[in-house]
Amino acid sequence: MLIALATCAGIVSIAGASPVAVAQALLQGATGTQYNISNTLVQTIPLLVTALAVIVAFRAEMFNIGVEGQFLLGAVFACWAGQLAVPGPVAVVVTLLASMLGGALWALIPAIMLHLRGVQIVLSSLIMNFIAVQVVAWVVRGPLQEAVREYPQSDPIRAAAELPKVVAGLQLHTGIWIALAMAVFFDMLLRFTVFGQQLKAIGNGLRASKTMGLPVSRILVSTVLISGALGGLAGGIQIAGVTHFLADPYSKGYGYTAIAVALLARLSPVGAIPAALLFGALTSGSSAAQSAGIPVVVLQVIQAVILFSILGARFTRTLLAKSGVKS
Amino acid sequence: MSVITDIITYAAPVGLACYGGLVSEKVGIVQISLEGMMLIGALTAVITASVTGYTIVGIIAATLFAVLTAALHSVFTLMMRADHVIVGTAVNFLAIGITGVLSRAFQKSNPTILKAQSLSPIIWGMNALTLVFLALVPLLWWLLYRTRLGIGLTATGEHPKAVTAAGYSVHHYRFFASLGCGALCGLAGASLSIGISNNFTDNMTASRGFVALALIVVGRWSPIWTAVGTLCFASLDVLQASLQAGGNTLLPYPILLALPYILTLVALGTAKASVRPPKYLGMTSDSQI
Repeated sequence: MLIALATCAGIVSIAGASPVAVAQALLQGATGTQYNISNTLVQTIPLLVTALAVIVAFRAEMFNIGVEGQFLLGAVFACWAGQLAVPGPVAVVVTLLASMLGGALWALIPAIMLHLRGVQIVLSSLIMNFIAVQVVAWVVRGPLQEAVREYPQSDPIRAAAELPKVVAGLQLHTGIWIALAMAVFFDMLLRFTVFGQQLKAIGNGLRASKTMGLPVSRILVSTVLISGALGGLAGGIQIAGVTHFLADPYSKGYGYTAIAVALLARLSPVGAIPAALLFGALTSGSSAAQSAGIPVVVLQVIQAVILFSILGARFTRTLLAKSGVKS
Repeated sequence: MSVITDIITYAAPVGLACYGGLVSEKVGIVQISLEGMMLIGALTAVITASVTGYTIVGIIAATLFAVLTAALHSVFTLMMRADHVIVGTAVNFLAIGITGVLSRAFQKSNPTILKAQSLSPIIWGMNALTLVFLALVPLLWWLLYRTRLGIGLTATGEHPKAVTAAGYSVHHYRFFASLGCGALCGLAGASLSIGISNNFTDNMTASRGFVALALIVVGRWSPIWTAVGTLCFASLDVLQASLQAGGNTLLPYPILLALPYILTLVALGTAKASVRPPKYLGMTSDSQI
């Protein structure tokens, strides 16, 4: 942990600023004012939901790193559904359901490739990300472009399809409750249901699970679809809660950061809440640090250092455990 | 430059990264971090070449620093036995961050430092690294399939117990392959930054490392087929660029940009029937060796 701190401080100094000032700026930017706290939570929401998508898949050793693409497709579908003339409160529900459908459909392609041809998810889902970026680029210049056709962006969704704000005047929207509920729901699901146990069994031993007669292929396909739906939901929440329209480029790489969040949480859905909060605070804090003259890339270094120190700490712990057994 | 030279020049960075990933996957190490090591190589090459004025120094330094990055990867995957995908992700974050921070820091002290002279063409408009990419097709094939070292590397990924039984060290082979992968990624990065664009920009590898990973699968873990796949991918890229420059209105350009990826995906789907990855790919624990 000390090494991690020292590394961070060193890199910040190279970037030409005092580490203390950066730490202060980060803290101030993340928690300083009511507005900053709201911004931290707003950044936490997509990270939490995408991290849940990663967790569900990684539990079964399905390395779905295509959450970024599923997020984008969720946003596309939400943007389309949010403009439909659906009455009143149903509009939000329709928008979010559409986003889940979009994410799941995008995940369906790697799932089918896995099922029929045994193509590794880690590759197919990744390639789907690049295609998704271009899908967004295309729809905001084609079918979903704003009516005046000036910029590569869509028209805003209808007001009825927006997620309401938690406190008037602040950015924080009710998507936070959806995200938290999802975390608790998936924690229960993975812990207490047959499905959760099956995922655990497959993750721990694929061959053994097959021998035991589990419908492995079917479970894995549905896992990937659930993961995709969650990724899509994150995109939908972002459309309905924050931006209200689609632009190109749309994601800030939430789907990739989600992998770090999920691993930091050791694949625990409830554990993903504080982990996402940490990264949310880093994101929100870094925009403030930027005004202190620190480039955003520093954030990536800090993320990497956090990951490396977790891995190092886990290794030391297993070493200690081993030596404990011997003595 | 003729179209063919163009294609081969653009294929070189991806192709060199492919070779790196290939060598590493042969011994069972998943290399998500090709991308990160390329970035480190790209920045190192530009800075050292611009400071010293010699592109060859840039190439050597890029190799060296990418090998150091690979060593970091190895410490975590081989010594601490951490999951390869996690370590690779962390290395990528680190590389994007550090190259971003350092390039800004260097630029502050010397505004022109990120612009280096580019590699000069040697024959038919191809530079040294492009030639290395071509030369490595037969060389790597010979190394992997016709030498004791190559057989040892392949056996490490397929049947590590046999390697141990034959009196060789699985660990030595893995370290060797991992560092070799770093060196190749360093060359890949250099061929991008001082070979093609003679400057460094943030995240300039633009997912080429990930494309390389997919191309290895398409190329069925064979250096020859991987090179063929890379050349196909590069020709699509060049085609797409020329169509775009030619003011094509037939297809919206995002679809053109997505085309190489879509075809890679199709190739993945069709290639898999008769191929499988090295048996011990991604295994970390002692009991599995």
